[in-house]
Amino acid sequence: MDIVSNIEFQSENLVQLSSKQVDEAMTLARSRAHAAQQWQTYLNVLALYGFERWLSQRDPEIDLHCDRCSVFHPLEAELAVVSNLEANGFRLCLIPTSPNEVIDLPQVVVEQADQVAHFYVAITIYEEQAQVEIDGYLRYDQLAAQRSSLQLAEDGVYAVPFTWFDPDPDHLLLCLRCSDPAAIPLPMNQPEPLGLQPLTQPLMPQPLINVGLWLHQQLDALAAEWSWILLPPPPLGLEMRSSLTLERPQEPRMPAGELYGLLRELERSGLRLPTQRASGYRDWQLANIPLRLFIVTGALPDAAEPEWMLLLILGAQPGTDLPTGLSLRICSDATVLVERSLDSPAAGDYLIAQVVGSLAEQFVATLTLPDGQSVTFPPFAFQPQ
Amino acid sequence: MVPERLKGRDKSIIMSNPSQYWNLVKLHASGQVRLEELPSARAFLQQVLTAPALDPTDHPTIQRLLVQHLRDPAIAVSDRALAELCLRCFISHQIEQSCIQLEMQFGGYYGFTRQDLLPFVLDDDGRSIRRQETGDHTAATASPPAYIPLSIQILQKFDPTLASLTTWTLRLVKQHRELNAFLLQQGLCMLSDWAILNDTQPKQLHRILTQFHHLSEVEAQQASLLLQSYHAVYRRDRLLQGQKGPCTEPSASQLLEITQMMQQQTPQVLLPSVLLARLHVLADRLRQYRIAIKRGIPSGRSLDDPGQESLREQLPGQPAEASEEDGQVRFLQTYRQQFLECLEQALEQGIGDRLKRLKSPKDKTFLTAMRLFHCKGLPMADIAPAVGLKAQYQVSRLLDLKAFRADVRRCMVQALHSQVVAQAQAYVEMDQLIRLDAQIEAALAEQVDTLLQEDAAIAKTPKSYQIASVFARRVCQYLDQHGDRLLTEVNHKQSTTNA
Repeated sequence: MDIVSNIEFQSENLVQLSSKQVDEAMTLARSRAHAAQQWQTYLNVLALYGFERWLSQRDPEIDLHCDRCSVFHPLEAELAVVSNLEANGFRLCLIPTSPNEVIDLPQVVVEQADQVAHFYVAITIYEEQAQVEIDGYLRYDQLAAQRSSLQLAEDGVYAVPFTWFDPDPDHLLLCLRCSDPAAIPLPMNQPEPLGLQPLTQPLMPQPLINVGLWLHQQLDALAAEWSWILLPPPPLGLEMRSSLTLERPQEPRMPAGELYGLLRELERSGLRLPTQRASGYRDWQLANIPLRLFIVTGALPDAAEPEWMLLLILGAQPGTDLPTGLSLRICSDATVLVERSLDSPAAGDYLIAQVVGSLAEQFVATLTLPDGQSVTFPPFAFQPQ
Repeated sequence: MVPERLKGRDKSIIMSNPSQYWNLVKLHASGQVRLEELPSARAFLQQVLTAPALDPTDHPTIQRLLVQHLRDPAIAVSDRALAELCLRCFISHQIEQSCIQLEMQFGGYYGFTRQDLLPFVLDDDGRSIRRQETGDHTAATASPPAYIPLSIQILQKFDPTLASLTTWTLRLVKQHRELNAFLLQQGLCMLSDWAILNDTQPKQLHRILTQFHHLSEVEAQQASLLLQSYHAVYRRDRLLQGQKGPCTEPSASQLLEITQMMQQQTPQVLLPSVLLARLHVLADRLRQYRIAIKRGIPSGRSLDDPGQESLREQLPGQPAEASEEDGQVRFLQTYRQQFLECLEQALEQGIGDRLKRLKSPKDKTFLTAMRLFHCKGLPMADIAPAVGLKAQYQVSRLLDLKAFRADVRRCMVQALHSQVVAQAQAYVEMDQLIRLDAQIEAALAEQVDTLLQEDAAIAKTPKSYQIASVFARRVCQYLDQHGDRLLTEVNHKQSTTNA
């Protein structure tokens, strides 16, 4: 290589950050507890400041709101993107990146109703030069239309080809300025807490969530609306290799890693699981208690009459514990099939309930809090075709 | 990227001619570069070349021999100094080449010559340097440390088993702090190896190594371990120490920590120098990938010549030529009056926003340059000296025409869409907006203004003005009509900020 090939061309959509902004980004990054996440925080803040400056230079009349922005409200793990940014009523997600053919999008910002965005904006960070470059943007509707061709990686990330992005950020300004958020329908956001239903109401609200589709890595409309997130099938032979050191260390509290670990333990303790199965999860808050519910499902073809299985695992979100007195119940035809409750406080506990039924059967799950508040999910059904 | 001329001429001469080991490329106070023949170095090299079976074009071997001489304590100090002098001569040629390449490739557009670059890196006058190594401690501590030219710094860290001297020299030249700062100031971004490594996620690295470089899975995994260990140490320290700007080479203690980290995962033990070399190789691979996918001239350049209206070709999703023309004619005929009114308002807004944002005296320079470009049809390279700027790219950046046009069009789209788009629709579809934007751009880029049925006034205007686009003419008209007012506002802004 000669010296000329060391020069990197930058487009005109380049923004220079001030030394003060870089200092602020560093300070914010250093405040993060996990050393491994600090650099990501740093890049996220640089992306945010750069985008803010670009927008104010190009169109000072576009309103940008960062108060709900993810960098200022970090979750347990720093996302590799800046989500929940708002401009003229549009939700934006900034993705700090480097010149690349694919842009990595975490599953949550693609699928979770409170995290999705109208526009995903790819931003190259020139950290050394304190510059950022607005590379292009992708609309949610365009992403959603092509999503089935993407494979979810083990680490919960979609690798989106950069060719899907419109490389002209001027078009983004045009949309922000002249269009309306209604032009891109986003998955519905459930009001919190979730539609509470007193137990006296009939336990069969329609329609239902067809978990059979999950086997094909598909969500039906209702599951999508309820923000269920599919988990990728576990890597081949995961269970068998579990004792070998070869296994790739899973981030322990990432949903997929957490579930696979749990399933391994359950299988060891004798729980019967179908070999062909699908799983998904959902994070939400019930009366301010952060909860995570995993669902595992699959057909049991060996039985005399074809049956299906539903396994619910209710846990707390990372860094929290389930409250004592919480109970999980599964009913079929208003008959309680199984009920589990947490009687004594214990860190890291889960409520686990498994039911098996004929293919025509539907199951209704209800969570009840110690104070009697409860939530009932739409019935789960299993119709893979 | 090497221009053909360079490949054919200078490089081949360098590669075959041993005179570069005794001719020093020296920068004189006048700023001129001269070759200075050093007879003592010549005699010494010829003596070295008499070694049996030595091919005088085999540079790696010659360089290894010279380095051996230089570092062998059993050899007389004077001979060691001569071996070093030969290598310094060689390095001086390499440094000059780098500067020439930069000038040939970018100098015209970015406004610099090799004379601007050479003083940063070509700083060896060939004089002997006071040695600060073994046996000379007293002298070193008694006097202030001597200035060490870049060539000697290059040699000090050079390990012929890890890289060729040409590669090594390039590596240190390209990470030269002042040279980098100068280039960046001219608008040229040269990333250090460390920045590129910081910038790459292990997952991405895996993708690049296996899919772009076709390395094996094992190689990719080893590289990934190396990168992760490097990240854990180097990025952490950069944040903790609040380091900004150019990344510095990893320190000895950082390299040690990285090797220790790697040892926890692999039995292989790496020497710090080998680790450093591997990091460089990894960065080179990543750089090749980056350059491969980002290749191309800055797109803004196509607008720098007022005669060119190449933007039209770049518009996405254009329908076939004929139907586009039809659509355009209909569009303009229907909305001719609104179109002109919107354009005038949009120019007011676009120019006004820029004048507000630009600090004095840039705001006035902006107005003058806009006029020279749109009214006189001058290319940016000619505008630069007329407004007191050095290079074409500075005018490009100041006018930032692609953004200016986009901003003007956006104002027009906003004003026009309510008339163009069906009223019943609750919101404007984004694809429609982008199409409308493209239609407006096409109309503005028209060279013949028949669509807008302009009056005969055009006939009286200078020739360059006549061939200009609708956009250029309208900007020019606007500046003619409102220039005085804008100037007054600018002056007013300045006096209020001063007060």
